[in-house]
Amino acid sequence: MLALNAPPGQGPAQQPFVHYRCLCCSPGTKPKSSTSSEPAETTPHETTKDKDQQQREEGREEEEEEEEGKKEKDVQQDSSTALISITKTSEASHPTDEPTTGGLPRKVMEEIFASGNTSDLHGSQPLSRLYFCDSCDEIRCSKCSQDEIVCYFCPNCLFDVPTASVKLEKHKCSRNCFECPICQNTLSVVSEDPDAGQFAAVPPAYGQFYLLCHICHWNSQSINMTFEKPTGLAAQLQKADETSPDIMEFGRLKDHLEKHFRNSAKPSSSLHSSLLSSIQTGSLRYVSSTASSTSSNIGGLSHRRGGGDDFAHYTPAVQVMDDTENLDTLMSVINLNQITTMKQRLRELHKQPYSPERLQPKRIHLRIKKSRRCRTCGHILVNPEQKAQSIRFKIKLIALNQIPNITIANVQPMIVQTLSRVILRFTNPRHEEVQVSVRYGDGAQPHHGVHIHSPTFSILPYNEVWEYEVGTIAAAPGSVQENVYEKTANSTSIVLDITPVAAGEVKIPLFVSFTFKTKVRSETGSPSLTSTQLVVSGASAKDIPASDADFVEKTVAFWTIIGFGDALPTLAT
Amino acid sequence: MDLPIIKYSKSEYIETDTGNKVSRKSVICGSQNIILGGKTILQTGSVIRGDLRRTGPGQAVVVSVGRYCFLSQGCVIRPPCKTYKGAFSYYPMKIGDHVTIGEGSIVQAASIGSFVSIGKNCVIGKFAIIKECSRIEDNTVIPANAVVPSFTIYSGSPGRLVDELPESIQEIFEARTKDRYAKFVPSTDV
Repeated sequence: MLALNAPPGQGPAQQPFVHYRCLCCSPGTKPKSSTSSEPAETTPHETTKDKDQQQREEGREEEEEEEEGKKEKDVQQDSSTALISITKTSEASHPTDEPTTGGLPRKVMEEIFASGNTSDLHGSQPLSRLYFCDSCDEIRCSKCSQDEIVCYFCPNCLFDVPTASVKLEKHKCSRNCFECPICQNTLSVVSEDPDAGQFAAVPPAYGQFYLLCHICHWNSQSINMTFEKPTGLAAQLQKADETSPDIMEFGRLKDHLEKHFRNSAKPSSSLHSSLLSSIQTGSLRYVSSTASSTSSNIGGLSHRRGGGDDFAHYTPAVQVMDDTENLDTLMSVINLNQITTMKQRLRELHKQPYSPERLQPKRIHLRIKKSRRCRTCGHILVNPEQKAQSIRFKIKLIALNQIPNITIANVQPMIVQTLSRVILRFTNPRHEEVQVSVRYGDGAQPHHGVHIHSPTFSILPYNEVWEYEVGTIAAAPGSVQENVYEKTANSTSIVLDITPVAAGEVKIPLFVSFTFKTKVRSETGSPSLTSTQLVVSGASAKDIPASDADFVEKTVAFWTIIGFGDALPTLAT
Repeated sequence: MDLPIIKYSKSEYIETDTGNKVSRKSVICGSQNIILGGKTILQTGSVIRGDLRRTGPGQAVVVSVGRYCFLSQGCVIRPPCKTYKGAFSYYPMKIGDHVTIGEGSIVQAASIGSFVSIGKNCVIGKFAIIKECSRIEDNTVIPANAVVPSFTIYSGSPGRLVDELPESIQEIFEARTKDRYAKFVPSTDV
């Protein structure tokens, strides 16, 4: 089911897999823009520019957003009419085989169907990498959710670094964590004298401690770097860092740009102030950390302001050294071990020494813990605990716990023009019973013959008790009404007959929708029902019986792409 | 894809009260110093060196292994050792729950957290610390004293960070180790 299971060394293409497609990545029509509260132009992540805009928008004040929301309703209506026309075309192409739409209006359902009806793997991921926003009731991927930094920590000593000191310490560990200049592994602080510390009364000799790499046996004595104490070594190296020309140059360039933003930002221009604040708080996320996206970001910015946004010319204070003087020495090198590798050189940007003796150990870069937020509704999807060493999450809305997990339970070898039987197991992670309907997407190329034996079925809810009873056949008497292959605990297996029409990998798109009854949240039922909930939770309070008044039926639809490995060509007879 | 059902001969494996399944063909030294948490499988040829204990009198737990762990064929669990203040000594090793150790891997870590998967033919150096929810790819060498943080994938020799694991990895590893224990069944024809 997951790519994690695929043995390395073999391409994942030949392995059976089950991928889920996030709506935002669908290659077809735009995702449910009629239900989203965002304007059509900021539909999640079509380009980097959109992302940046989204980020800037997030920084706006809520009042502004509300105002915008009103304006955008008109836009939404426009787009929804457009969607209806799309729907009509898709209806024409799929006149039969209507799935049970549950409470979900057919329009949206068809739209989702049309949006992903292809076996193109673009944008599809294993379920483990996806999230599920429970206020939008949609799958979210890493692209249509937004990262935020929760905390910084050192990956070696695992200490939390307070955000205030991160910038001061140049995003590197300020304890005793260093990486080897030769092999980039962690160095340990060792003592010259193995008995050091045994007799506390004896004062340690000068230069007693040095750094040692356990992999390549580089040691800091070879560059005359020794320490009196085994602690606080980073402070000494940090001093060298701060005076290094490349770091100083970066600081100057940043100051230059920050000053520019501060001066040019009009009070009304929320766009600039939000960008500025994000720079100041250091939360300009790594979306823009790569050079290309930064340039596009700045380019987009200046473009937006009508071309009148010329940055003052920046004159670099540091000039890059001319390298020609090294040429003769380098030409005469016979043994490649005498000079540093590209990777080693680029760790010391300014000096870029050719001689290994001039390489310095580096402090270890900090890592971050991230939280994730839905780009559409702003709800938090994943929020880890702030402690670096904790693996617990305060909020964890992962798709694995919310939507039916599909596994390939059994697959026969595929042979062209020969029917082979495949068993798909649907496991329900929810505590509610779900009704599932499965439909073959005929947009696949090549169009394999697929027959689904039981396109609609139900899966019993997940129950912790079953974990302790291995092999329980939970199908209660009378509950097996559908013609399913197998029904155990919280999973139901169905049979697919597949007739590959061409050799090569068999990938089929499957359209899955599932309906479940869930308790109404406290805010629903009141007039403040969001548009998303109105559309997705089709059955309003009037439609459902009084006894079920607390429950509302929800339908969620998504695309999956299931690969069954390679189909063999027909055997010559 | 589902995990295959592994059948073993009933005469080869000993099943304890807590559900541990230990092969008679595995090498367990100093079994009084080893704790198995339950539902842990020790396959043929795996080695646990419980006899390498700290010098000095008294009982000591040398290797403690959590629940739902899977020690594959030919893997070696060996407590780390060093000379400290002039005295050579072994130090205890702790392995968490839902840990998989691949075939032929040699582990001398100080601690391995829960929900960790170590591939085949890996070498985990002395006093390495492998935190929870991490994965070591096949043929990786983790140097001595190294730290593998949570939600990371390490690969290569020397092992380097190559990727991050998703937030759902705990559930995935847990489901997988439970599934594998359920599918490790005695063959009926013996």
